[in-house]
Amino acid sequence: MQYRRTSALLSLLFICILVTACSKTQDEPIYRNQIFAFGTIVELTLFNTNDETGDKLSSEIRLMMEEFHHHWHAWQNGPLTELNNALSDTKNKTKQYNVSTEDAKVINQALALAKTSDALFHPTLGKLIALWGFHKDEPNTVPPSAQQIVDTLNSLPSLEDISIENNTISNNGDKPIHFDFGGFAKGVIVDRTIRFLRQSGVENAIVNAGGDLRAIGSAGNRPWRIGIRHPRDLGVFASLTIDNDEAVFTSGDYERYFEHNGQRYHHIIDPRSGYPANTIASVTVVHNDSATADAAATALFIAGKQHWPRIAKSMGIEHVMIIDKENKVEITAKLAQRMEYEVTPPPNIEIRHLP
Amino acid sequence: MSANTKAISNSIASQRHDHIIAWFAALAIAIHVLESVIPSPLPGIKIGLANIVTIIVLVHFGWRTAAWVSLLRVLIGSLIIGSFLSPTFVLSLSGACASLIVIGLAYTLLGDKLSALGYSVLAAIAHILAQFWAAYWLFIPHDALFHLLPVLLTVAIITGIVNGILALAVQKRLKPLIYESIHTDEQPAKSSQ
Amino acid sequence: MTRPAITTLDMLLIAIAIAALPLAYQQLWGPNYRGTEVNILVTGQENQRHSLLRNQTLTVNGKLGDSVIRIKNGKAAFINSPCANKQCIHSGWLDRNGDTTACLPNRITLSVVGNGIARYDSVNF
Repeated sequence: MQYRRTSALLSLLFICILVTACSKTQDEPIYRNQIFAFGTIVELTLFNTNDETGDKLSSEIRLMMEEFHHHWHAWQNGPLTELNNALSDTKNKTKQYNVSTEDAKVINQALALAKTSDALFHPTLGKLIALWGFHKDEPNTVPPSAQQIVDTLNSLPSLEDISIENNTISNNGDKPIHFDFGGFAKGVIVDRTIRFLRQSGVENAIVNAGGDLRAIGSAGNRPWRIGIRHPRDLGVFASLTIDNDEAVFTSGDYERYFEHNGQRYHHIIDPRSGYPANTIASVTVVHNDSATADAAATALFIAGKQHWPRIAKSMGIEHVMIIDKENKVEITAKLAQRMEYEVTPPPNIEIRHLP
Repeated sequence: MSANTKAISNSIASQRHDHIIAWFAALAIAIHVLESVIPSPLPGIKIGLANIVTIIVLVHFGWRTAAWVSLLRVLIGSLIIGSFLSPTFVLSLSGACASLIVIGLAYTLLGDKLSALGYSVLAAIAHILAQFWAAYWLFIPHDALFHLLPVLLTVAIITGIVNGILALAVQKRLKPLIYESIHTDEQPAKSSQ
Repeated sequence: MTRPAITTLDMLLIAIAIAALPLAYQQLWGPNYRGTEVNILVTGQENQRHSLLRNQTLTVNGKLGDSVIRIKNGKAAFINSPCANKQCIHSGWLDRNGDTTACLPNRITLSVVGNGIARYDSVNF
């Protein structure tokens, strides 16, 4: 009898320990690191990777990103500024420039995306972005004058002015071409980083470059869960889980901005008006390729409330969520099925069908 | 008592024991099936009236009989409702097993220091925890499920108390009816220990 | 055989169960996924880890100058930074596992880490 009681007591203790052990979610074998690269914070989340491997990959990725940043930087002397100078030099009669096959591919993809986006994503807005000061770490504090904006708009080339053949880029018009791949380059480097991770044997990872990310694989027995920031609050507005390999890109008016006389001027400039696009607060695009997702997030933000479904259709994007300034949601049916809203009360949601 | 008479009394006792199990299991199954017809306000929330039977059997006839009654109820009940081997059945079974283990251990340790009320509350908590874990690991491995747990626990404690009080009330009426059978029944069971 | 009457131990058990309920609500509903430490990263420097339980004010030297980070009552925030638009300060107090903010111009990030799983593996912003 004594023996039975003791064993029962021990079993009960064992059960208690088991329950508390289970209810405490075990530490997952996830390596997390943040690095400064590409002018932003890049967060690496690698599943089943030890610290040593993670640190090694982090530093390699940092170097790769810095190299890429320098290569495609529109304002610091480097390969892209050389290209821009050559295409804008009035003394250069032919206004042609040879680039590597790899670079030609990037430029081609950007031009193709610009066309499908109705030129809302535009890779030659360099001068306009610079006029607003959004190319610097610290933006301007005063908006440019209306006249300056009109002048700059008039000096911008159209997409038809640019042609690319056998790695040779030509300026067929009479205006200077100043490529600026902001709104696209980040997508390209995220794709490259993912490719690098896969080559290094990492199949389950998230690369988050300053708020835009691509996630591959899963976190072991559960999918990666991504939060999407509230455009007007600190915190998460909605979340979704990643289906094996997807990029999630968000463009918002809260990312880079300055305020002047109570008016907010943010970094997503409408190439038609020369002013920040102003109908919504953020756009989230989910797509299998980061470069496309990046360009689409910018284009759809500019397209705004009225026209985004048409542009999304034209760019081949099926997963879009728009949050407007009143925190109302417009979302495609496909993304609506997967989105979970993390705000209370839940937002007003309208499902928009693509044409 | 000679070896011979002991064997006979054992066999009579075991026969009666079978009858008790069958009788109570049938009662529990009936309650189980009837309750399945009542719509539940939230998935996973049920009063679990059939557990009253398990608790009464536990305090009167011991853990082994209670285990038989409880497992037969889950098995045959699910066959009747048509949920055998379905998720509902798995959840039911894991709940039943966990409460049996917990009340079994508590019964060995505390015996009659706890009444049917205490056992009912213990059983309800063990039941819901096991069901929750089974649901989480087998069917919905989503962290959002944890938000439900406090609600489920609250309901479990309430239903545990309600069932416990009902069990006590039933016990009071049953007492004169089953007093004799307990004494003839528990004797061989105890002496075999 | 148990007497059909409520025992003291019954009442004790029920009292414990009911007393434990608010705890369950707090753990699973309340400020869940609470962080335990802050991780401060300055470009080119070792990571700094500080417990959220110890109130203190830290001065961190970044690219532009000194940023001031305060840890108070389990939360952490930038309270001063030499950047122009002070977005890091506007981010306010961080307390949940996974919360992150940064002063980009000064190259400093502040993130909260915890023991459990963060609600999100990564946040899109």
